[in-house]
Amino acid sequence: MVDSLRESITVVAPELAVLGGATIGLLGGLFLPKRMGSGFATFAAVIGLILGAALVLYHFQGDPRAEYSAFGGAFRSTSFIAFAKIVAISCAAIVLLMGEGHRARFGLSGFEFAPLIGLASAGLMVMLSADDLIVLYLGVEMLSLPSYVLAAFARDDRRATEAGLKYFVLGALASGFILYGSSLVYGFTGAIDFAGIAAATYSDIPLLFGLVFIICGLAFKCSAAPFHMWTPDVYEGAPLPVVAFFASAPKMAAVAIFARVLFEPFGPAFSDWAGVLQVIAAISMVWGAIGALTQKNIKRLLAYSSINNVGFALMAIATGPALGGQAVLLYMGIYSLTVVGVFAGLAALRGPDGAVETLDGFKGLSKSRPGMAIAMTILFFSIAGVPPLLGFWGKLYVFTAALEAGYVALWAIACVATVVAAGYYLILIARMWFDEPVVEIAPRGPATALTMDLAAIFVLVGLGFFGIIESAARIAAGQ
Amino acid sequence: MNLTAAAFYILGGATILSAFFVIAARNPVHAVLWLIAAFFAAAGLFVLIGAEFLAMLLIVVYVGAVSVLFLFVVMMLDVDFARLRQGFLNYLPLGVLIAGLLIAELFLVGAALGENGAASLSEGKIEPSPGAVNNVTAIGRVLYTDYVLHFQLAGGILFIAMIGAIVLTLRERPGVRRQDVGRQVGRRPRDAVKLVDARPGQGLQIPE
Repeated sequence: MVDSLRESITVVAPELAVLGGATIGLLGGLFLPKRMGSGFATFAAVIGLILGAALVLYHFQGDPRAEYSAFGGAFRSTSFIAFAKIVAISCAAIVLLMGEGHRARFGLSGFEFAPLIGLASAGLMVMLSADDLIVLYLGVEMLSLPSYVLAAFARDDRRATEAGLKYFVLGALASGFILYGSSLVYGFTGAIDFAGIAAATYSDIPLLFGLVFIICGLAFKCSAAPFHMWTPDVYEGAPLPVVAFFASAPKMAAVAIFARVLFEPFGPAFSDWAGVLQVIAAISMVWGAIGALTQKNIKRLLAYSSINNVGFALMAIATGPALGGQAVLLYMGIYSLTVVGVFAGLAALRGPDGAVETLDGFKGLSKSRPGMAIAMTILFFSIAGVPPLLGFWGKLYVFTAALEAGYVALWAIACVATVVAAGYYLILIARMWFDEPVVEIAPRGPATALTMDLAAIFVLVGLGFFGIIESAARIAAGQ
Repeated sequence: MNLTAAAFYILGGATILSAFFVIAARNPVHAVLWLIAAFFAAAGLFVLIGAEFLAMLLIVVYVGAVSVLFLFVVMMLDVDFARLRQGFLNYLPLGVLIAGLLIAELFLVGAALGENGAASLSEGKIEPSPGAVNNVTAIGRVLYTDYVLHFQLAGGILFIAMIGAIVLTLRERPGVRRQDVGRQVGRRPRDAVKLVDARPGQGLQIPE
């Protein structure tokens, strides 16, 4: 037992590093003088995240197809998980770095901001690595609890408080769904570990009941329609850097664990859940595209955009592990990194009275801030899926997977949704380039603008990296 | 009728009766007390099925902590329960419908049990009893060994919840007087006490 415990701890080392960074940051923030404490907390949390990513890479440096199992089959690390983890942790670290220095503007001046993001990241890593239903639930909670707090972090802002409360109540309901589903699955298979569930028979209707409950809960966590109701309200109310985090790291993790739960324990029931996933994907794509059309607030618009994008990722999951595994990793990885750039741009835009949140704020951006307008245009084109940019290739893989799986109707719906969604990105871009400025834009903040530029460059010259990303995702998906 | 069955019917009846009074009691404090009674009866039911650890847990956690919390909320917050209940009749049809569904489900489960026997539901996949050792020993054997990761993660979640509660509620108030032990101990009598010779009939002028 001693030896296996030691081995187990080496497997969870990345999680421990992230957790340790966040905790040291908390202690520093508490005991250091006030001005130093906040910076130190961010620094420690970022170091923890970077160390965590490095350790994940280290595990897979020799053999990318290696698989690690720890704690008697409760925890697992494969390259699929590692890919999702590295993307998610990178997003979290970027969010922390870009927010530093002007967090007070968003009501995030407390030093606990960075450690909470670190703790949420540790939670999403645990969730990604879960190999039984209890660890899955604990990971989901460990990610959700800091998220609720982060949403309400600006506690003097009524909208932020409302967002936090709404997120908490609905999130608790979704957690209850996952728990109830898990208990049904346990009751009818007698196993909580993923391998044991996969080995069980699938004739039991109640077992599928449990699966459907778990699907509902996970769909809520990655804000897929029809479980998306909380997304626009939480995105609108929560502070911008927090929304940047919500839209990237947890989303990547939630979609990846969604894929793992369906592929691994419920893999034998593929024919049962494929249809459910197709319906959820179709509703998300269509509703995300249509809902965004009437939005006046940029954060609400991006919330619908994220619902729409999760729909594409779920379409990839619905095609099964062989066809969709690589596509879902590629799609969500590219989307998460791009959307961090978009939010960095939003955080850098500053009007006379606080952050620019209405679409009108973008009018004439090309005249007042040409560089920023170019970068934002590239990022929006990428999310819309305009050819040479990185976002297009992500979409291409998803669409190809859907066609190969023979989901022609779903494929057609996805095409229409892409066109409609492209419409509102184009409206945004048109406002930037063809309208007169109506809002005075303050000088750009250094870190956020840099992040956005880097993201834009990443998306623009991503083709060069695309080979690397593509092969990484392919290996990760085990092909 | 043997003793176990008698105990079951008494405890089961007590649970249902107390649960009914929880919603029927006019005084909210009484409602919470009835809730505690329901918890005690349910704990007795757990003992009957051989889950003595769960029974003790129910009493320690629910009676000891949760109900007391409820009592605090009921007594400290000024909630007008009479007004909260006014809409009760409007929701009655929906409530009756849901209750009917639940009862129908219970009957279905009971019918299935009667037809196939209790073992059929899980087909012997789950061992209902740990065997020779008692519950606490059985849980203690695996909690810190096989399930050490789960245990530690649960601890991590509690840690996060604590941080979250502090972040959201702790406010630094200016002008709060705190105890300064060093100053207190370091204070000598001659700094604080002054002997004044007060003459009768004359007031005292205290120098600043």
